[in-house]
Amino acid sequence: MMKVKGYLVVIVLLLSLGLSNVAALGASPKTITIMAHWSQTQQEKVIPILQEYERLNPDVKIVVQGVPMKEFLKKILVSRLGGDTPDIYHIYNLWMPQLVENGVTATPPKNIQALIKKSFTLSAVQGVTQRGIPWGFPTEINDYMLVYNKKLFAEAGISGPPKTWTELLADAKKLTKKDASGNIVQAGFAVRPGDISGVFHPWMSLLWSNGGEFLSKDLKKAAFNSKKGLEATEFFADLVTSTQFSSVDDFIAGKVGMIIFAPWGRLYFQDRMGGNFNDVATAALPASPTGGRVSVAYSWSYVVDKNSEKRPEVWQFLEWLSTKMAGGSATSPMGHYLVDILGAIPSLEKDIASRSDILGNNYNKPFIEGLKYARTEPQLLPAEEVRVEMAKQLEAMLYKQKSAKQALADAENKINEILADYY
Amino acid sequence: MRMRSFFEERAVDLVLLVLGVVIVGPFIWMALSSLKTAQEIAAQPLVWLPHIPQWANFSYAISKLNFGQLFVNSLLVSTVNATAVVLTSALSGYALAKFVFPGRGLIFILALSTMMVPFFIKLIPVYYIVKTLGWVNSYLGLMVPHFVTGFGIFLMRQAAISVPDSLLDAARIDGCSEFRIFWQIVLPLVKPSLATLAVFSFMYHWDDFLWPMIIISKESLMTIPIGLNRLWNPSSIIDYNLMMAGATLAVIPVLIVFIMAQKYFVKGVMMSGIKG
Amino acid sequence: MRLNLNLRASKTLHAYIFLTPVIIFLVVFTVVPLLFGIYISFFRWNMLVPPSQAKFIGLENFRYILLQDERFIPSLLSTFYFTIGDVILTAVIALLAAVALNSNRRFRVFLRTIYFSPVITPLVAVSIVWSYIYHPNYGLLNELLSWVKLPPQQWLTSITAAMPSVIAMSVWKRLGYYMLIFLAGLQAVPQELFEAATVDGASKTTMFRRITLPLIKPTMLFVLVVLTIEALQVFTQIFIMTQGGPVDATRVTVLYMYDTAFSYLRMGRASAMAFILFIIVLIVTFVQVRLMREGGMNTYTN
Repeated sequence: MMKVKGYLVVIVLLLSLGLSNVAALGASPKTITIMAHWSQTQQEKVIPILQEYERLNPDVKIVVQGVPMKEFLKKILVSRLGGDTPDIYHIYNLWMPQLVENGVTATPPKNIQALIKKSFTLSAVQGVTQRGIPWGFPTEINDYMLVYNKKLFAEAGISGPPKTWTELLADAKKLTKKDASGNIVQAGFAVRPGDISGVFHPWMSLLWSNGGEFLSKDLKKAAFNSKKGLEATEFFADLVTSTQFSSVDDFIAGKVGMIIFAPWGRLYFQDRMGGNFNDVATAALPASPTGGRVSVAYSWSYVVDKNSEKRPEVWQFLEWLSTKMAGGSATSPMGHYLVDILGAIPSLEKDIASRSDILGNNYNKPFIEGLKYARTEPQLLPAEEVRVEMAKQLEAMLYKQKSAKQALADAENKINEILADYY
Repeated sequence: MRMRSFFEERAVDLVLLVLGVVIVGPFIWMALSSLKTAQEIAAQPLVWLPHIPQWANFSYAISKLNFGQLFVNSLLVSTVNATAVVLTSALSGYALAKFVFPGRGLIFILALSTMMVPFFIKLIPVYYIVKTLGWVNSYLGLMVPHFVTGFGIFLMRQAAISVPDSLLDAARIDGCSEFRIFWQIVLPLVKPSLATLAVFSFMYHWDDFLWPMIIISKESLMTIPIGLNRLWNPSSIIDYNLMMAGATLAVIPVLIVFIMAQKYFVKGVMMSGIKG
Repeated sequence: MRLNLNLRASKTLHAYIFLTPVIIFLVVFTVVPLLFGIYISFFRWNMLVPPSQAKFIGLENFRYILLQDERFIPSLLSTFYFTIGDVILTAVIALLAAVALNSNRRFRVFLRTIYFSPVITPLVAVSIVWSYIYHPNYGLLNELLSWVKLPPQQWLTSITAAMPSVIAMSVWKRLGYYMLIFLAGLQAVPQELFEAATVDGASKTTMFRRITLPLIKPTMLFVLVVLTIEALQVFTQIFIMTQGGPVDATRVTVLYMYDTAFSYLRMGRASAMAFILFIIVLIVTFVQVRLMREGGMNTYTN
């Protein structure tokens, strides 16, 4: 009997230990929870910013829930299903239609809507707008540019970045090196196989640059299986000679000549390459045979969960984080975080102006200029499903499982089926 | 003839030892890598021993994973589940083995056939039921759906059959209540099976991934596998030294428990094979 | 007589009391979910609305995944690929290791501990460790290959090597468990049989084939059935190591079902997938049991 009692004591002890943490979180009445996909290091560095707000508002406590990118949308939808939700999500704007449609997002108060419309750049506001309402505070905005390794260029005897597709392909061939037994040891151009955006976005830039379309105007049909689409896709397949190289890992290791990448590579590469980062340079996207040059833009924003719609402290906090110039600074707290920690481009007009020191540097210049000819990915209800399907078909092509023609035809069928379920 | 069998034996020994090295190899590699710097991880050619052991990787991993909380949660979930499974299985196994009543066959067949229902087919419906009960993101949702298993009922019925009827009848004549008979006579007699079941159930929940991943998004409720997965982001660069420190933290406690309580594990597993 | 009747009534009552919690749990968390899962596979349902508002579409989900979907049948094939590789390798190596350990007194306890150790470690943790071992640039395995002058391999990012790599890791993880079960089976085999056979001049291989194998057939059946059921449900190691890639090389059915359900909220279609896999699990188990029965194992079990 004693044994049983001892055992029960252990369980109760464990339970209280386990619950104490849960209770501690619920203790403060004004706890605000943010769900975001930042890496652990990035998440650590947002804490001081949040603590500053807690210092200014002692009755508020802010908690960050980190979720890996691969599970982020799943977590948002699933935690909605369970009815136990965080207050704020930092979301990929591509998901906005689905979240709005499913009633995940809270409608911002009128004054907040006006604030968003007047303070952020137009493309960022468009990214958060659905049914005429701006649903959230825009954060980072990204486009894709050519990022290359100057040292490898010099070794291959190439003087500058390619300006046209013809040059791009020729340079990629020159930069590709094989060892004695024919294994590729250095790739001229690489994407990120296995990562959805890492394949889909570079391809989409090529497609649009070539004058192709991804979907029909009414979003009901796939439009990429066209002559221009096929040209762009075949070019993409020629460009990516090997799937064994990743635009992240192997670019950092100095084994990849060129990639098409987003601005956040600046700090990401810098942190991991040390001195070798001096070899990295950026340039505008090479122009297609039609002379076109279109970059894909994607953006992120903070939205509030429907369950927290009536919590004024949540909106107040977001307003402070996204737009207030705290402590005499000319940059908003989020602007500082985006530029200095994430290495991203902010979308608050004032932040862009005040941080021209970084945003105007050689690395960022093509990205900032590129925003002028960038185009936002189509926002759809089944956006994630469509994107994954397209990336999977392209991946099959890059792995030489399918011809470009076949991949486009299969993707077209599947994407038309998916769209038919929604539109 | 003798020489041959001597060499044969040595050859078998050698093969067995090589297999042993293959099996522990990953653990040693994991432990070594957990003490390396990021540069040593990426070094070419490969660095075997960390130049200066980076114990800081561990404190880093502990704070990033919130390992204390993960450990408490894993321990709690596994212990409560194992206890519940043992109790429900013993009660029902005993009832099915020693009582004659209408519907006994039906209930036994029901229990047996649930052994044949894999978890994946119940995943969506059980999620929906748990959501309806309001148990998403709670210890209840994490644990309660696993409180009864067909395997447990089957195992405990087999064990209870061997309890002599005369013992039970004698106790009844002495005026023992049915609950006391169960608690004081039956339970001690089926202890070995109970231990097996407890070990199995504990191991299962310590390792369980799919269900907790779906049901839990709060950090304060995460178990060790879920916490590790949260840091695992294959589409970007991974700090392998820190991941290995995390994995070492997850692996070492169970290895220690296993080496200390090996006897029970081994007995339990061997018994399950014979019974099954 | 009356006392007897009372006793019977009391026993029946107690049996029901003992069984009530169990029946409730079995019904709520197994019977109802199973039926509900089958029911919902005839609907289009995203779980965001109550099931009563789901749209009935008959056999459309089944038609789609079986006839139209480019991924479902390949996911079944990948599942079979994994299962066949995993079951055969695990069973054979576990059996051989058990036979060897059974006759080896020197290292038995020590090696048993070693072999069993991966079994108790969390699958997520060791999947992460193995992903690192397989890493094309920093991995241990390519380093070992370079010792014997072999070129580095892509392992998890190669279409051909990904599945074998996952299988190898899975065999490593579960080997010790099945070895122990075989060891238990072997220890139940009477030693006199071997002694008699040795006197008759039988070779070791003959003894293994004629004595050991037939006598451990029940254990073999158990191991094969359990291993197969486990392998057909593989999820965690693939989720961690490859996420189904590269392309679809390791997209097994449970993973595909999970994505369909929780990424795209197509609960009906995912339930149809689960149902088909469930039927396959039942058929495979049934066939295995029949085959082993016909192999004449009854003689020993009695």
